[in-house]
Amino acid sequence: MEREPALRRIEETIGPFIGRHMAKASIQVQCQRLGITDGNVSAQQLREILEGIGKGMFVLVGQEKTKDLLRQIEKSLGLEGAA
Amino acid sequence: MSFDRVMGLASLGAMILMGAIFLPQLVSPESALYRDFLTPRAILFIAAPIKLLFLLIGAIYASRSAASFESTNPVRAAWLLLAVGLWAYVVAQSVLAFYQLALGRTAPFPSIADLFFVPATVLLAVSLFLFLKVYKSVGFEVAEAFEVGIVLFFALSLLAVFFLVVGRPVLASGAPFAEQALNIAYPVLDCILLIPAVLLLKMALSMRGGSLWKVWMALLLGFVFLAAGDILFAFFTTLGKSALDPLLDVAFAWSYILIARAVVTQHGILASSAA
Repeated sequence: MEREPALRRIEETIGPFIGRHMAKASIQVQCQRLGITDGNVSAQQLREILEGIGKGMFVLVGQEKTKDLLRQIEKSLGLEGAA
Repeated sequence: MSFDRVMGLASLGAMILMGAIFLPQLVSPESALYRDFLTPRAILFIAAPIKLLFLLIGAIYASRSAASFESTNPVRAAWLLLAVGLWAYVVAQSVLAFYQLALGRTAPFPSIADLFFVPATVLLAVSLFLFLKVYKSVGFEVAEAFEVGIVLFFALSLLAVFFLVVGRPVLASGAPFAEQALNIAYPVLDCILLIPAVLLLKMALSMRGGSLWKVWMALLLGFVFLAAGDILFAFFTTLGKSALDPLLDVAFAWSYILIARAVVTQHGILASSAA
């Protein structure tokens, strides 16, 4: 999967809650942590990015809302059931 | 129209009303407006219920937000402390309102209200430190060591100025011990409250554009007004500047309104997932 469009989807989903700036920064932190620089990103790497972002959203909006958001992202990225 | 939207409009309206009632009083307290229409008693009957109403809304919605977070969520304890602190404020403000509205006179200082105001301020400060700890632990952009140092420097400077201008005259005033202790305790506690509030501001600012930005900016601004009100109260009381009291009324009213606005929005965000 291409990195930029995938990351933009994540940013667009969490941005309305934490703002574009923090959404971008959070994604960047996760990418750095996983050593993702450019090019493509695997489904496994996307899951790991989402796991990291989920930890932050969990303390801001609670478990249910976090699950909702992650589900939305997984659906838009075609990650549902592709474990 | 959602409750959050109603609350937004009501908060804005109440802030404008409080500003319009109190701020002109600073400039022309002897004007016909304050002599014939907005008499001290009339002002009390408008301001006291508004302050109490917003505090009550804040306490209810902070409690509901705390209950909405799962028991395994580390931020739940912070919301719980915030809610208990706001309930203590409700009790304290009710005592003041009883004196003002039922007995028709200003509450004495100190009064039973202070038995609730002091622990309330401590609880709010502890809740903010806890928010800071939790958000930092999950990697949010809260202040670095250097920024913590700057904030501590300013807080200590503020305390030093306070002790020079207020602390010494208070101790030398011969006032009862409880009054002296409270006139020193409130500003000290508020300086401590301001430390996590300012440190959380960095995270709040980086969320601009998001719905949580509204929550945190309103909440932190509310705490800043609260601390400013308490600190100025000590200064004005000691220096005998009672003409500046309307400034305190505005600071406290705006603080309660902003905090209520913040917790209602936070609860709306949490509740939207359950819908």
